[in-house]
Amino acid sequence: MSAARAPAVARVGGLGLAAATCALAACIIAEPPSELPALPEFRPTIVRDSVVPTANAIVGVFPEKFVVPVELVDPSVSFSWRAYVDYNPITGEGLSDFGTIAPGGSPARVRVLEVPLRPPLDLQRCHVIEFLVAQRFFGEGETAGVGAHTPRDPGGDSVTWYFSPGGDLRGCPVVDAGLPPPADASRDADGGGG
Amino acid sequence: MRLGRRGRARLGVAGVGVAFAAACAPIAGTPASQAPRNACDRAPCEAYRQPGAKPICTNEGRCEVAGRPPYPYVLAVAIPGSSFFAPNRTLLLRSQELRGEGASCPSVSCIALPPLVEVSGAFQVSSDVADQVGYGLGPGPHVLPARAVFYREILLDDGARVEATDVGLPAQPLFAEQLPPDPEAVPTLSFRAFAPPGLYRRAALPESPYDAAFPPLNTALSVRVEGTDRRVPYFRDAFVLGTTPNGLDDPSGESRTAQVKRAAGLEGFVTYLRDRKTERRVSPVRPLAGAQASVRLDTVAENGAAGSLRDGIDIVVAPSSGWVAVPTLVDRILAGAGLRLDYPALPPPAAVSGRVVGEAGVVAQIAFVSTAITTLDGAPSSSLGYSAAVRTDASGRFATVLPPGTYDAFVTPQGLAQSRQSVTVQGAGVELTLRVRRKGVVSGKVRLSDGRVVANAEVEWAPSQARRAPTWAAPRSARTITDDLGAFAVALDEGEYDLSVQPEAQSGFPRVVSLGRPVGPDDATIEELTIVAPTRVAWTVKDPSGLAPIVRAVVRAFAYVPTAGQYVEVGAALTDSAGQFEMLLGPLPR
Repeated sequence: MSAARAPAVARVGGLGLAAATCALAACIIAEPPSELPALPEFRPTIVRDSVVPTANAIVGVFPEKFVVPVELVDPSVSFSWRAYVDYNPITGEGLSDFGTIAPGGSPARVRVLEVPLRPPLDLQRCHVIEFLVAQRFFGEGETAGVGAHTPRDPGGDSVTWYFSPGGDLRGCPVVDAGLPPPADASRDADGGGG
Repeated sequence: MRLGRRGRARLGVAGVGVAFAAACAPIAGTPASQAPRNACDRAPCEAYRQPGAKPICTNEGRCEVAGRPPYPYVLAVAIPGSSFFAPNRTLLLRSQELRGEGASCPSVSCIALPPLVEVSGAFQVSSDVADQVGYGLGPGPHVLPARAVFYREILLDDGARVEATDVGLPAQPLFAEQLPPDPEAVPTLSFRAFAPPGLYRRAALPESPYDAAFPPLNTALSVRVEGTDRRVPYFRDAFVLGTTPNGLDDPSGESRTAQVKRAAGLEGFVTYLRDRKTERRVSPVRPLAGAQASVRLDTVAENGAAGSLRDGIDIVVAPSSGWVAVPTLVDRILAGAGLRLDYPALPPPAAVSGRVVGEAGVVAQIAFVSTAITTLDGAPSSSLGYSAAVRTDASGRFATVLPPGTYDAFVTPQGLAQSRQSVTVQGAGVELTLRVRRKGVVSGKVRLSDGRVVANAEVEWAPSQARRAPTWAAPRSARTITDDLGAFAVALDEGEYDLSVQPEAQSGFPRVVSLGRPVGPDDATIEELTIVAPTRVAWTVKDPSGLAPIVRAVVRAFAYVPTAGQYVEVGAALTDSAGQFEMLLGPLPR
């Protein structure tokens, strides 16, 4: 190759390289901008089999503390918990304690909560203890009423213990699956009788 | 200075290079937590200043004190409901007895749990006893329907045998299954339970209507494997009321006959004897009638050295559970004084209303607990007792009905400090104003013994276990988290607390517990709390065969603190899919 042609070849090579770079850049630009997929929100889940005392039997002695393992899909999220003793679904009374668990510095997906609850004043009868977890609840704090018992999306989880010093369910509330009576029920009854 | 064309080109090339270098540099993340980590490469083990053995760097890269914890401990293994073996049971294991179990669980760090034992028995009664208590059953012995409850006991290091829950261990009572009578079986079994071997106190209580005539039997048992039946290990809890050692304390009934009087009549009242400490019934529960009643209150194994009822027994005359504003009469039994009780005439109950007031009306729970009840002649009686709990409305107002007398009103307001106020109830109606104030704020700081502050640690204040105040008198527990500087502040009721500091999970540091800390009504700052390098405890928990791991069991460690007379929780962990757990323990709580 003559010395006179060398700059021309260099120019052509440079143009080729520039064209290739542009093509490559064009290919990259042609791709839509991508973002890391966001992890959907999951509700915290109580490891119900492992709670202490067990929720599968009557609690005969009110424990010093309740131990509740909670499993998270994403350990970097915070979540809230509520503990109720004899929750009243009409007034919202019964909130015994509540709190928020901040994200931990470890990748562990199961957090073990240890919650000492104040025993009810009357330990001679049945009491129902409820423990709820959720990322957020509708109401916050002691005065939130029924809202504090209701998780926001994506929902929550709960575990229930029955405390009874006699070891049976005497005096405990039962699940109510009843329907409200129709508005004209009394009229029907009256008519039937007459 | 002006740059030439070549200079600008060089500057541009350098800029592009810097930009590339910056873009390709490793991404430095923001730590999720400011909590310190126990890592030898970040903080040298020599920097920990703590009493006792010095920490060394372990294979895990942590600073730990080598060897075993400097105190014995009890492991409470709560077996999950999903376990094949012993679901929903909690086993108490003393550290002195933990070791690998032969060929099935050979590792020195393997625990093969003890097998469950089928404990079965029957509440049998001899015909003589049935005649003596006035409930003739004909020729016997007879099997009564009965409930059996097993309370776990434990031997302390000084040899004392105590109920596990009395010393702070998390042992739930075991309620035995009641079995229907089986005419084919001799004798018929009336209860059955599956329990781990160990020490128990078994309370066997006849069901109604036999409970009005026959006393319960409270017996110390040592459950062990007596034999196997179709490969099921069993323990027969055989006893007959009326034969040694379960004879009536006074078969003649003379010293066990209670004379109860009430001018207005005793219909609806019952009487029985109970243990003062546990409040468990030790005699039949006899219904009363008429203005004067004479009933036998038989007991078994409740005599003291002198042959009369032991100390610590009360006689109770109680109204029907549904009655309101009728006190219960509880009298201490003095040796030789007999069981004579006169339930005094009382004035009509008073309507009590009022308001709980802070800066405005406050939602609160109020427990009224009598210190003395006023009788009709105006005399105070401390043998009569009454308590009631009420809840205020949103404006702090409440109303209830109480027998006249003097009361302690324990007020537990939302967000404000709990208080105890003396009130007198007399006349037909009483209006009360119960004032409450804000809680005192206790602040402090948590630091490692190497000087680093401990962020994101959970600081928990719980009512003192040693004090064991009744619910209404105990302060409420509270918790908070330390900030990035290791500082915390928490609003507390006045009272005595046990303080526990639990560093962030997997940070490599143990929890530290401080017992019996008094908290006053005002703001206070406590001394700096120090967390030391831990001692590691690691075990693998397996079923009795040593083959199946116990997965996701909550394991808690309790150390006995002689000064408090209590076991105190010093660590907790969850077993993994191999049944393994690791726990980092700190010093003995003080």
